[in-house]
Amino acid sequence: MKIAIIGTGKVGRAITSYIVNEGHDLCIIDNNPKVVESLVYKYDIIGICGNGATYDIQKKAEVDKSDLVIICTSSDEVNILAALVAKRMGAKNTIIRIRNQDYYQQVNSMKKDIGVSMIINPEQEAANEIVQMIDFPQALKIENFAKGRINLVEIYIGDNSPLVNESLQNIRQKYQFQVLVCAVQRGNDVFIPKGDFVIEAKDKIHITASRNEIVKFLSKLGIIETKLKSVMIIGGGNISAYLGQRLLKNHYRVKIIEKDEKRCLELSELMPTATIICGDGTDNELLLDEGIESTDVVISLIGIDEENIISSMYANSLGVPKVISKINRENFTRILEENGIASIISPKIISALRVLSYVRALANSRGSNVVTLYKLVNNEVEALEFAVNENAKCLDIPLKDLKLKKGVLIAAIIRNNETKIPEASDCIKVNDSVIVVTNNGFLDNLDDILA
Amino acid sequence: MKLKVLFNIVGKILILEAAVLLFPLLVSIIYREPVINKLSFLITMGLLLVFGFALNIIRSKDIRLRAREGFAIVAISWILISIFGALPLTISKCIPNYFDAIFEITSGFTTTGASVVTDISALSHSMLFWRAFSHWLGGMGVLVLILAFIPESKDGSAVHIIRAESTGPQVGKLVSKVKVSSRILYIIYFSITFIEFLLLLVGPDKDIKVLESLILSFSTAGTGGFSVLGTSISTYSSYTQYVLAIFMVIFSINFTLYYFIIIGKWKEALKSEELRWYLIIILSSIVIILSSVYNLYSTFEEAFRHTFFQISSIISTTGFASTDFANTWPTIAKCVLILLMFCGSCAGSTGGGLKISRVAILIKNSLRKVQKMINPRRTEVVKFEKDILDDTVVESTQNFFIIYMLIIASATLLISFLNRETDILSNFTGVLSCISNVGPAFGKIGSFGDFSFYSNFSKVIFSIIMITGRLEIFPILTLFLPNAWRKK
Repeated sequence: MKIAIIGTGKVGRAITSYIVNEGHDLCIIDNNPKVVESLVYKYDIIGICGNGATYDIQKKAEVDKSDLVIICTSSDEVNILAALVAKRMGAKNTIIRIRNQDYYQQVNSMKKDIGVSMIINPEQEAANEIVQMIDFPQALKIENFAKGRINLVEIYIGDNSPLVNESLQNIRQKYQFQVLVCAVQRGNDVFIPKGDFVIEAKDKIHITASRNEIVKFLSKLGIIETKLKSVMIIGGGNISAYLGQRLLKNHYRVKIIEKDEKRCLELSELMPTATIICGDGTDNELLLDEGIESTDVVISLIGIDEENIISSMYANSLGVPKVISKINRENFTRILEENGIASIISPKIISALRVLSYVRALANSRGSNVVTLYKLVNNEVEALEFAVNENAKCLDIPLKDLKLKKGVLIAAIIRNNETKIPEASDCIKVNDSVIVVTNNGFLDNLDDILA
Repeated sequence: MKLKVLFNIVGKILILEAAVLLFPLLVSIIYREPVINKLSFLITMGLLLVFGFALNIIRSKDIRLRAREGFAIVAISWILISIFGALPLTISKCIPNYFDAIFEITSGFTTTGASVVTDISALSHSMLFWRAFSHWLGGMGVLVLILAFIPESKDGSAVHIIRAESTGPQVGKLVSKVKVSSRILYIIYFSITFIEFLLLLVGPDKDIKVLESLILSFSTAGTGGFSVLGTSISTYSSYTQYVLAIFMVIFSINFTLYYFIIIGKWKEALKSEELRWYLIIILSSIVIILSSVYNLYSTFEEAFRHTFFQISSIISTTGFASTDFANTWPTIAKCVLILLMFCGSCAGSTGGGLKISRVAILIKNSLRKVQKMINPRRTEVVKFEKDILDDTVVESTQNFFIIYMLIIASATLLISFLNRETDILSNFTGVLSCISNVGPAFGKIGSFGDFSFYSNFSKVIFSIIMITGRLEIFPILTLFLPNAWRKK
């Protein structure tokens, strides 16, 4: 496919790196020559330096012949203009980034006029993800499939966990759970486990199941669920605003710490019931004064990765039950996650993944489409949700008779709103949603799982 | 330096060279040459395969190349293909001295066309073919060929290889993928070569048969200059001379322009500033030289033909000779030719030299600086090909020019030190001819590019200069920089 990306800031670059790996023809446009140059050296793509909202530059990038245009410059207005130009030129599909909440609604209602097929809002999506993390504090990470009907949860296996040294078969027989372990990370290795796989201490397991099953599973494991009540957000950017509003709606106590006085006033206007503190969120005395020790959740959303890491480590050292930190540079996430300090949230990756699932669905026009896609374990494993259509090759064949590729696992089947952890005798039927976990190359069609 | 990736790719190049040796082997079989010729190719292929596969076994997980690996891979590959490519010439006793053979085949791959063979007609068909075929391969680039056919790497690191092997100050891709880009280039290259081959074949010359027109086409396509006869092109008909002259110009124009023409962007191709500079330089040279040599020939047509042919041959850095210009032409004509040797052909073509775009950038920038001297507050940007010239491009172009001059100066010194008998004109134009990949020179070397009188050591130095010139200096310089080889 021919794809053009206009604007290669953080989000644009993350999208670029994902899409290049899928072998599409890519052309990037940015007005910063240094950025263009560095990307062109890094990836096998063409780069154009200039204003992506102009006709000439888009013509140069052959937007008119592209299958998809992804517009994510830092300015919403420029993005909308670029989308209009692209539509005028005859771009087939357009994805646009909108950060301003007011614009978001507007653009959403004018999708057709602007010719936009998908809107991404990294900050809002990050806020949504954080809300889920708080709802499910035992999980290191939580992803949604089928509109939240099924979750994929990452759990750390402690030394005292009853699962240690048990094979997956035994666990299933012993506890009778409707959950499936679909990927295990051990050190730097990743396994797509079979029934005889034995879990060890310090593994990180990814399980898929419906929400209720996961709750049952976790309580059986002795990971007791305490309802979290108070949330402290360090940094008052866009994500904090989105997040604060969502949390207040869910009756959490929210305290936001922000340096800039003007911003504090804005936030307080937006969220009258939240406590807005004007001060430096990296100052430990201020944090202590504001009662960080007795807070249930600390979320660090400062614009600088390093400051987020420091505040998260500090919060962790004080024994805060749940620490969440926004990190944009991927290599940093390992440090925090591996030491169990904090859960990581990365707005650019969330957006990039959404775009990627759109790209996969577009690349595969005939078969069963990718609906959602997540990358797990340092991008080595992918979990994908497919909407099964009548052309799929694996219809009505019991799973035990399907010859699957190595490293491919069918993690769940959703039929008529019911979630099923598949067993050997189950079949895939038309209109099902199927969740597949794989560490073997990339899939854009459900038929690709067959060997 | 990531040695593992380096070895792996160099191994692939050696295997490729073994594969292309099949063609001269075939020629040797068709012309029923003595067994020793066939054997010489087979032995070389065997050696190449052994070394190639041995190196190719080395695999590395980390296949991302940095600029320095790109440079080093290209430089080492070019040196190795020359060292191995010389073997058939020596083993078959066509050129018994191995140093001579290295000079000859380096001159082939770098598309120089300088020779140490005094009696070309004594060379067998297969060896003549191999010399010319090396022009064709070296013209567009051996590694570009590899990149067109090895499985694509997902990151853009192949760009570094392309940059190291392609000519010109700025190297762009035609389409977003390196692999597709290199394929398009090779298809264009192949097609134009084929057209030339047909045109030569149907020409009036009786002694130009399939093999001869192949050799001449390969030589023109790579802007090399190896011919079939010791007298280069001078004995051929005017038809053949015109065909060659026109195709030399065609092959010395940026190939990107042909791509634009193919995809229907005629206007953009014709608007190319470099092309205009190039044509203007050619036209004005014709006027100057024609005005000084018209009385040397019986008809005006003949004078024009030789003038056009020689200018096209020198500026495209091919180095064919239609007449003995080095000995018969007046000084002013020789001066123009020496200057043309400096500036060379367009970037992104198969030709050598400084490149027209560099010359244009340097001149434009210098003029701006002069303006600024008169009026210090004047602000003006330099534009080239409709784009504002970035200071880094200007700087690196100046840098290139200075190092180019330094290498010419020091090489001339070294050659003069080693060959005290030879006159300065031969030494200087010899070095210039080698670094610009032209072939012929003035003085003792002459119009037919005969370097045979130099000592073995000088020939090795000339060979290094040729590769340095073909790869535009920096890849070879990388090999000598200790910093590039450090682990971190």
